[in-house]
Amino acid sequence: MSIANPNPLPRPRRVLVVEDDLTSRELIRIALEKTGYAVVPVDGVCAAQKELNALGFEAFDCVVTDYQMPEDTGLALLAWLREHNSQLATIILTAMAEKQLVADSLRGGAVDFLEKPVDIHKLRVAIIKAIEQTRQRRHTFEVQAAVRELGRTQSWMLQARVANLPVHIDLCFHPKLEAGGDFFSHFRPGPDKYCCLLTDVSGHDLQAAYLSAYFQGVVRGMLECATSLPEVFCIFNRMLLEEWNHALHASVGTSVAVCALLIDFKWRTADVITCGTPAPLYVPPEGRLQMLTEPGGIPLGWFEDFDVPARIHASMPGGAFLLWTDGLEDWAEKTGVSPLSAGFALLQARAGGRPAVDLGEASDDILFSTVCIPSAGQKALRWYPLIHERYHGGQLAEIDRLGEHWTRSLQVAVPDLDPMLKHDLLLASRESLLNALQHGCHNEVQCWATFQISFDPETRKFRIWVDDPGNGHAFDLDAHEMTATHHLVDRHRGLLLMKQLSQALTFERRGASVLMELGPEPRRHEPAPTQPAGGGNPFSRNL
Amino acid sequence: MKPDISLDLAQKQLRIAIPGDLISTSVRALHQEIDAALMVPAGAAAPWQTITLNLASAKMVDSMGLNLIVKILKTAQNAGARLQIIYQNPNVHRTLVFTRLDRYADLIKG
Repeated sequence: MSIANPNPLPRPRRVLVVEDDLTSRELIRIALEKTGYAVVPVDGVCAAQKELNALGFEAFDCVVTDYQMPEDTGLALLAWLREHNSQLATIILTAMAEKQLVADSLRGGAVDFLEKPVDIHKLRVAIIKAIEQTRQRRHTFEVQAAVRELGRTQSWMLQARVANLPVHIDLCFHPKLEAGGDFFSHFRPGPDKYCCLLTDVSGHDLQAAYLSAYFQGVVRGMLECATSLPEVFCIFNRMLLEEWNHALHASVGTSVAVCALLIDFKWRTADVITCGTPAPLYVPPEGRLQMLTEPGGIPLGWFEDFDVPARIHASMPGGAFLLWTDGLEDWAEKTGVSPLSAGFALLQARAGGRPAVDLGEASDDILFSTVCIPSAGQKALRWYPLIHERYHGGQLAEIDRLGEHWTRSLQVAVPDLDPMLKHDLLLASRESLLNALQHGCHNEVQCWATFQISFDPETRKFRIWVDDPGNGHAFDLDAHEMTATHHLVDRHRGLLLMKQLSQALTFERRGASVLMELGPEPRRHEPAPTQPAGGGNPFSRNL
Repeated sequence: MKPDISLDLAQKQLRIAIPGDLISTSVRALHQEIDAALMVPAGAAAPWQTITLNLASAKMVDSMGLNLIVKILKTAQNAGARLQIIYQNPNVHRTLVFTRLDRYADLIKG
């Protein structure tokens, strides 16, 4: 049995010397060997490439090359080294001290530049520097490769499909660096139950990625041992404060924002707890969004006297939950679009349904997911919300800016949207929101209207919901249309437009809640009634 | 936003050009000057027989914009004049047709 030497002697530093002049080559070889370097002398670029290919780039610690050689120049060798992704630092020797050559050499990746005849002392100093440069480059390369591998593992874990899932999960993850602090996992903590966990650890580094996965593992283990979610959160909050942040002596503590969704299939309910993440949304099968909790809150790891936010208990006939991290909101704000439209675009791009989204300005990890609970005849989310926002009555004068925001959001979500349909969507949205802010909110800043646009990618139809807090009023749509058309009154045209632009128009709460459906099919342009309708409902509100 | 208003006495034509969209936010700035141009002293005949509303620069007309058109239309009708509306964008044309204003005004593609 042979025993490997646990501490092999380090090999001598090896220098590749490329010089066509035999005398110069030998002088350099002898001088460097005297200093303890192993030297491989060759007479040109081709010979250098042969040696590098034969022994491997890793066998050398730096390259010293002449610039002017008969078959090719030292810069050509430099370019070849870069092309082969080599981290080998190179020193260029030349008799021609042209400034342009120096600049080209340094731009090409050379670490130093020496004039011929070579001063051996200067050469030795330059070689020490070059060898250190090679070592640093190789170390950086190895770290980058390890991080890329970690990132691949993280992506693989996020995309992993569990067999016979009771839910349909769609997810996209874009770490700011190779790996990130956002994470999402899903598992069965017990019979008839399913848990989805979204975490966002402060920072975008490897520590954040590690802590995020660690937290998810702890939660999963505890839930499978019948610990309740609030208990798990309290325990981990204490762990973070007492063990993690304290042990690291970190000047800035590490925090974990988390959103937990616990689905009970037996009772068709869902419990949601959020600590510091954006508020998740529930999309019932017909598409009108429900916000389950208030956004924000305190993440784990900040305060000792941590109170787990009240869990939200929602009955759930089907539909889907949308969960995302604040990186999506940051990017959407910078880009001037709605976060939901950005999330939809990312999901579509991941599925190959559209070109990739340019996330160049993203300053944080981005994770967006949909968790769909199958119900009768519907397996995946049908009505994707693209815009869901609240506007107060004082924002009436901002309607043009809001229109531009909707335009950008629609553009990022559905880039191939037909221009005519886009115009109709924007005009119908404008009319219905103006009506809500003016008549439902009475232009008051404390009164809020809710605005939503959703999209069905299969039929390419859109739904617009506008809800205001007013009481609405009784009105007769046909009578309004007839009056506006035949009597040229200066009112009701907003309503007329909404009716004509949409394929379906529904009012609830006496008009305080409006639903419009628009799609690519031609609208039915029904003519207005030809005779005035006698004794219609009184119009207390101009639509 | 200001309208470009001119009166062609030879043609008896009042020309009103809107430099952008005719929407709620622009109507507020436009209507005073348009009202002043449409004003006819009591008992006097209007110096125009045609009002030409040029919407060639508009990509959108909303309900407030439509109401302004209706006001111009009524003024024209009361004076026994015609209203011509010049448009370029097909969506503007559709909006005018949706709301039946094509029955009362001549829509001309500019």
